[in-house]
Amino acid sequence: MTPPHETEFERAVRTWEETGRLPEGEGPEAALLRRTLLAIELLSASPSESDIDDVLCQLPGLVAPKTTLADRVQGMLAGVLEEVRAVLRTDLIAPQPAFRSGSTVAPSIYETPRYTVTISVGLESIRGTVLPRESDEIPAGGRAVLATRGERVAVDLDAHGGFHFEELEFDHGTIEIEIGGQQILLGDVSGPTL
Amino acid sequence: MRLKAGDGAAWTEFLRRYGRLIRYLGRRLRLDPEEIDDLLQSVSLQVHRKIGTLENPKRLVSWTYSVALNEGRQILRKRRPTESLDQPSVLREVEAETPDLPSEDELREALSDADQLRTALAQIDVRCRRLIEALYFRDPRPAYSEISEEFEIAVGSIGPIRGRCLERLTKKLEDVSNGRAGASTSSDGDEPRASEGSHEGITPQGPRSARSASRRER
Repeated sequence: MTPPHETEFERAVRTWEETGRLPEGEGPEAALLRRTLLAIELLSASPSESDIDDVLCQLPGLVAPKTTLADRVQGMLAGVLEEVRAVLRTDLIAPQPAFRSGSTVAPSIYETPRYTVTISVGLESIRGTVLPRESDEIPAGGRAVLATRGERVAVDLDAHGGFHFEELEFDHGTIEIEIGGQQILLGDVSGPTL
Repeated sequence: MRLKAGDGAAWTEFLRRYGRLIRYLGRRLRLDPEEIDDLLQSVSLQVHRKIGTLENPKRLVSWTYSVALNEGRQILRKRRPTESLDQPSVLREVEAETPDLPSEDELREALSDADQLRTALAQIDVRCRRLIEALYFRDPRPAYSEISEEFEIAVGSIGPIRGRCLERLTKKLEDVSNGRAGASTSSDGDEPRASEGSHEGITPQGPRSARSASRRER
């Protein structure tokens, strides 16, 4: 049943919701709505990180990024930090690893049993914060290490758990956070553009 | 080309970006969730096996699209014997629907738009953003009665409010695509504001501290 006073725009949205048919009307407004709804459909179809891991396991002969290998060797040699892989929170709009689009900085939130890590990836910088989940005290002496393009950049965490990488030439990489005897891994953080 | 070289990071990026396209096509072909998982696997394997034959990297989108469409149809053909004989042919339905699928060019643009949509969503008012997330990004999709309860609005009001929110998102997406992002943010809403600021995840939660000095290790 058509709701009373339904505008053309609302009708197009309702039709899309009910039938899956994208608007095909003439004019820029219809075209823009179609574009937005299609983008919503694509974004909501994003595979989860576990989906991606499952597929990667099936693809033979993939070469691990050099940085990851080097990082793992270094971690094994160090042998003093408990390695914890951070999990991206799933209650964001889609199961994606990070917000990254254009030049806009937007946050992603990762969690481990003990810490919450927030990162915002920009074109030439990454900002982040590491906070204990069940305490107000931030262990001293922590640091964050960004591994990208065969290079490792380290910054100290400040007293509030904050860190900032700047003047980066960054497309993808990994971030390790060493804090409170743990090494937290944020795998495959990507820059704003592919 | 890093995909051809078997670069694991490049394949991860491929799956993040093109996995959307593959899973989207699976949904459009009305595959069930398990079949969509199978589709992602089989298309990725096909692309992995044949990536060496792709001469023009710019064709990656259309190539992946074609592979996904073919693989999706294969899945439907496998399903066909179990369909009831008095049901219309699944394949015929699919063939009939295929013209409704967006063109490859449109999907190519939509892949970029899907990235931009995150930015656009982050720049509309919190209430609208949360409503759109609830309506279109939750799995399973909540009933309108649940939306009504969560947002404290009448079921009959959801449609008009959703329409206004999508209008804002549409305009913002256009701004973001045209490089006008950030011109106006978050304050153009006339929706109820209860729980604004309580939203987790989308609302930027910048670091509480000043930056740290960085240093190169090597």
